[in-house]
Amino acid sequence: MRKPLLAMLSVVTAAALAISGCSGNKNEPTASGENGSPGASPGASGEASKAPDKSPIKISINSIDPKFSPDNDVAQKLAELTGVTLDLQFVVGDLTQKLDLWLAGGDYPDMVVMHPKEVGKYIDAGAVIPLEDLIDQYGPNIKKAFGKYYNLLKAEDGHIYTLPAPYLAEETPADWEAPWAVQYDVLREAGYPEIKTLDQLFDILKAYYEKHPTIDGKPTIPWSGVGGADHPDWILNNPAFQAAGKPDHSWFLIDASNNVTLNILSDYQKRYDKFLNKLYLNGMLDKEFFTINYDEAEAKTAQGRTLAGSLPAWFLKYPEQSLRGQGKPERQFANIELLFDENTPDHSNTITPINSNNNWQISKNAKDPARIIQYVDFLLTDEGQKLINWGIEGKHYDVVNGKRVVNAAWKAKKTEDPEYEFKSGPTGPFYWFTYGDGAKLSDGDYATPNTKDYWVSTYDDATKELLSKYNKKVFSDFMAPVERVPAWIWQLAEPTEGRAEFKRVQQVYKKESPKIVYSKTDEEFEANWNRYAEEIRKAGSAKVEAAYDRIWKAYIDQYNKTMGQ
Amino acid sequence: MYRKWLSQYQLLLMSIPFMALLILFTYVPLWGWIMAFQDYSLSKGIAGSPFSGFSHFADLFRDDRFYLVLRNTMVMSGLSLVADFVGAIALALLLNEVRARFFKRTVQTITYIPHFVSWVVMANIVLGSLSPDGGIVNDVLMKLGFIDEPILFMSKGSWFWAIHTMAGFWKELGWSTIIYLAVIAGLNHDLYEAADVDGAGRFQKMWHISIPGLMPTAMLLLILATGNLINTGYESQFLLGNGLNIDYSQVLDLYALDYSFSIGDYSYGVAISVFKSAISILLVVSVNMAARRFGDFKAF
Repeated sequence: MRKPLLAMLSVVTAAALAISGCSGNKNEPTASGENGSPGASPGASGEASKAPDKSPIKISINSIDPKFSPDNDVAQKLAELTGVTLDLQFVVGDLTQKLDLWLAGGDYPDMVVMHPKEVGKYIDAGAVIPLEDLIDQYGPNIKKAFGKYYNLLKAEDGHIYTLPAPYLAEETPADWEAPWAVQYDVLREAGYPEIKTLDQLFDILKAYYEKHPTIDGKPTIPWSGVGGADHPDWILNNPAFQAAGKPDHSWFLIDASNNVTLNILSDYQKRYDKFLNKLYLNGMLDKEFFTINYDEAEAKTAQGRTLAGSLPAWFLKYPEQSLRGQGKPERQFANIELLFDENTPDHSNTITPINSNNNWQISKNAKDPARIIQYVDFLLTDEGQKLINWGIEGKHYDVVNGKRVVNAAWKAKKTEDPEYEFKSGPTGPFYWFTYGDGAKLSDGDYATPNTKDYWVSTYDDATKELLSKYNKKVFSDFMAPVERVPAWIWQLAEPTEGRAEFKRVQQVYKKESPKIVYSKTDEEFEANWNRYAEEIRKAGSAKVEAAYDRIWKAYIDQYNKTMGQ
Repeated sequence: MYRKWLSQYQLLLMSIPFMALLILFTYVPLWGWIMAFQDYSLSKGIAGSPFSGFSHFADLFRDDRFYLVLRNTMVMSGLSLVADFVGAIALALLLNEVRARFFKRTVQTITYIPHFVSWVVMANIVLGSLSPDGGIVNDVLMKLGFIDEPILFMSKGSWFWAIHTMAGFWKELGWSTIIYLAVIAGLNHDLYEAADVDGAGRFQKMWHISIPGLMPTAMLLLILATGNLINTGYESQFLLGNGLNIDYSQVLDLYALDYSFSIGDYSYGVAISVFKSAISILLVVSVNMAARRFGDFKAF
């Protein structure tokens, strides 16, 4: 009986807060200016046009996450400080198709959030408006945040149509982890060896597997992966370039002179297929490696009988949570860095100058684009960053010895109920404009709570013990030093030519790769690989490579010009 | 003629909204077929996109993959149609002979419940049972000693059709039976009594009364189902398929999804849809003709 009452109470309080927030603003328009948003110095500046307008306004935006809440604590605080309330429009089903439908009908929201590869058609149709003049007028902090990379925002015609996020980190974000997972118990039994290559790991896995053919009465699975049924690139293509120490350009490899080639035709792919073949011939490859779907993979990994695999940390979140819950902390996974050859230079850990993924565009349906720019401008101030990354002081974080730390009560609630973060915390569409994990604000402290200290405080004893054996603080320490690359190729607008061929190539890849891995002899492996390469070429790989080569070189030209300016 | 119309004007008036709906939702959208003959681009719209003649159809008919998926579509829907048709009639006849009401009801309920379960759940049950890693089918076969190694059911491409047909059969059997049971219940009981008097046994009654009584309904349903042979959707294939059986599991709708909607080439998708409609009309007309010739029955 208590719950509904509580819920009602909180609604009432929220409403009261919102009302008092608005009225407070009307009475004292200078109140929030004192909190140090550097762009506006109200009172002193006589220009009425530049004083931010804070009357309540509703702006519609498509939500990229169905869990986002339109009115959690941080969203309300933002509404109080800027007057802007985001009216979230939840998209059911495929976003690309919804975007196409909106474009055909002309009824997109005020702000459209989309991947940069989709933007081209919106620009061609004149559905999104150029922003550079508005930014000149209302967005000093936007300019400041992008700094020397600001000109990279410009499209080929010199206009800015899209708002990516700045990426100010200079160190590896604390929650990044290498893509190879090895079970704690395997490492413990082997005496915590330094593992550098896939072959070294193979020997360790083999020894463990021979000693423990079953775990908890069920057959041990020495090597598994996620994505078999629907994303074969996750178990084949990505591990191949990662083991080669190459940056993540999804399906592509880019050489020193910026030539783009398909990774799936490279020797790296062949070498990785060979590694999987070796696992298969030794009976160590998951029987469902190529047929398992995401849900099944999650359930299976949570049983604790998977020893290792290409299992990224974001996938392992729930299986590991479940393993801890079952009282099997020794079955969790350490994500470590592995290569084909320990002498290869490792360039797999990269960041880009700007974070371009779920970019914001202002559509021509927006009635007051200036207010949107002001809103984004506020998000990119130090005050805005604290709010969207850390939350509200005293509630989501505290300042201890001049450093921001996550509030303990809030952290406990969040761990207990993963949904709570959406209902209360600094989570929402505005989070897009974070400076990035590992970046620092002007006060010298981290911009986001995602710091090494934070992660260490979440680890259980088993994890701490393992990391101490390797002399690491967090798992990101296993990764190669971070490098800045001009962009990842999948961030660029997709070329329209060669798209059918690309699809064909991917389908041949999906169909033929398992045959290579399941070869019984070396000769058969060679024959299968050659037939696979032949079929991929026949499907039009040259056209795909040419198309991507062209867009990459065009981008690099623009990048060099911008950075030379 | 006009006098007849005039005398029925109330009826005609009442039908106007429905005619309008029919035209609005079935004929007006056909205008969009024009996209199949254009290089449609979203930003230019139908009015502004350049015409390209039959180039998309030419691409379609030149693609080897298209014939493969067409084969898969026709074979899989054909198999499902036959399995469902024969299975549903057989089950209806059998259930009709059951005297114990409770047993009959129970069987009926158990067989039609899967119809209400979504394919996502069904597919996961099928995949889980056939899994080589602790799936019940492999476990039973191994315990009984038929096999030494678990069978990788989902990686054998040529088995996909059988697996898919069985999964669909399980899901839809009970639902399809309902209509036949209703028809049998509606047959004239005098016929059965007369047959009893003439000394007919159970099988003779089934053969001479129940089956002929079912035939008109069965033919009608068959003709209607034929129109949808090429249009069976893709949920089941999408959820059960994987890279290893793609040559057998990809159907026309999935092909359209992959090569048209997911890459934004809408003209190609419309060309596929036009082709599908043409085939559907052809199928319905020919089955109707065949039924008229052989069975003295027609739908239109």
